Amino acid sequence: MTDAYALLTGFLRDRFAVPAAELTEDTTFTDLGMDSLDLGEMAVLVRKAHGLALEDVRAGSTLREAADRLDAARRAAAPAAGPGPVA
Amino acid sequence: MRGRERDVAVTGLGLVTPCGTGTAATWRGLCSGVPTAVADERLSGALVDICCPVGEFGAVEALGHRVVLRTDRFTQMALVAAREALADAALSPAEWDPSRVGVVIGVSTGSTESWAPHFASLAAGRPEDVSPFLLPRTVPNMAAAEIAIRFGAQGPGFAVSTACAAGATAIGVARDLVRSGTCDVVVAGGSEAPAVPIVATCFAQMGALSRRTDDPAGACRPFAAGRDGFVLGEGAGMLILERPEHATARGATLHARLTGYGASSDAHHITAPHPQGRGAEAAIRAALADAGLAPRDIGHVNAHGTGTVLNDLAEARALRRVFGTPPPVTAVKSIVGHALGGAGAIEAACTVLSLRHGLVPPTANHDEPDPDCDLDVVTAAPRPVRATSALSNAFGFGGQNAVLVFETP
Repeated sequence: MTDAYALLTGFLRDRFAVPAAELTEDTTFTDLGMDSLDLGEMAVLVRKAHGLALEDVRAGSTLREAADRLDAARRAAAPAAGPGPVA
Repeated sequence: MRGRERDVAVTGLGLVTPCGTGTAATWRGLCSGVPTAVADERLSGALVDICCPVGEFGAVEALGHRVVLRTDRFTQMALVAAREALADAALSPAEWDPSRVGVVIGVSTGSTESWAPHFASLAAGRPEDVSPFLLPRTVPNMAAAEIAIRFGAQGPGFAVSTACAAGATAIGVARDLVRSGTCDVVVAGGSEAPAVPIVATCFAQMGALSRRTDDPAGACRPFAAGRDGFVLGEGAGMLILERPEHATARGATLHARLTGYGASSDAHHITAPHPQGRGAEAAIRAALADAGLAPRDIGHVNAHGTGTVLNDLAEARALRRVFGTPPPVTAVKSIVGHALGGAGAIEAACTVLSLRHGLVPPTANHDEPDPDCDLDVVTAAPRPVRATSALSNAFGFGGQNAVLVFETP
């Protein structure tokens, strides 16, 4: 389980009241009864809490796919957050 | 002479009020005569910080987490009250024709406070932080929509907005949907959660709220000398209105009949009532005519009775002109506060309960009557009143008035 996956499932439990037992890597958002509005809300929450853009995630995406997207967003953001180049 | 075929049956009641969740808890609280007003931390920073709060009302248990997360408080209270009203009517969505079930809900200010953090996001240059749920959770028609979704009501559904008369207007408009034959059943009522700093401050700035913040329980004093304004409340009231033949065919119990509805506009001022209660009088007379009743037939008036100087005087003048000597009057806002768009529906339900129990709950804080109002206000304890018909008044800012007449079954 990646950090991104833990972050994602944490939001699903805490902010969308999804029981932990329903959360597996192969679960889709549709399986959880979530639609595009829910995913939009999720993207807002992730951006506000972590400054990350959760993009290209659809209702039919699995949680693993969504976590991979989040990891990609984190990697893209990492250089800016890291130490600056040595002159 | 009108025929009873124009009547509409009231077969279910549901209430969420500061007295408690449910019709029984609310009736007990009203009959106790004890005001529910307190200083409320939610109003911290507002010009007036007292209100009559609805406590824990079982939203999660009744509706589930997901619905609670996506809805605002006024919708949650409306759903809980609608659920009680449908259960009280012994109506099962599995058994009705969904295309003939409507939902009409009165709402006034809606969800003003929910917008605040999102305006802040815009102001901070972060429009992407605005929630996609903001609009669907705050638009005033969403209480009616969520009720329709939850219970599968596929007939006409909408919100009505007549400020503090909205709950009564909704019931009147719903009555017309039943009387016209459009619907067999309508879930009708009002809901409001205005105990938020911006709404309290707005009403305070208008001079409408009582400033007795050091004595919350004594603040709302309808028709009494020294009254200085209303106290904010919150809550929802729901009635199940049903075509009498439909109710009879399924063996339903009738709580009452809704026989009259009258509406009018003062056409006078944006907030002040017409000083002589011209619009109120017109609505009362229209409701009586609609019911085919004379003033002497009415045994009880559940007044709008906000506790503002102007409303109570105008309402009393209208009642005295219509009735000469008006029947016993009560003003339950002295106990549950003013739930704005919810108030007219909460009070309509109270009026039905008064007819059923033969009892008029007391008006609190009426220790010194205002001689200019000169009404027979029920005080101190519930008064037995053997009425077969009763009037419920609701008057809104903008001078929009709605009056309902209920009769025993």
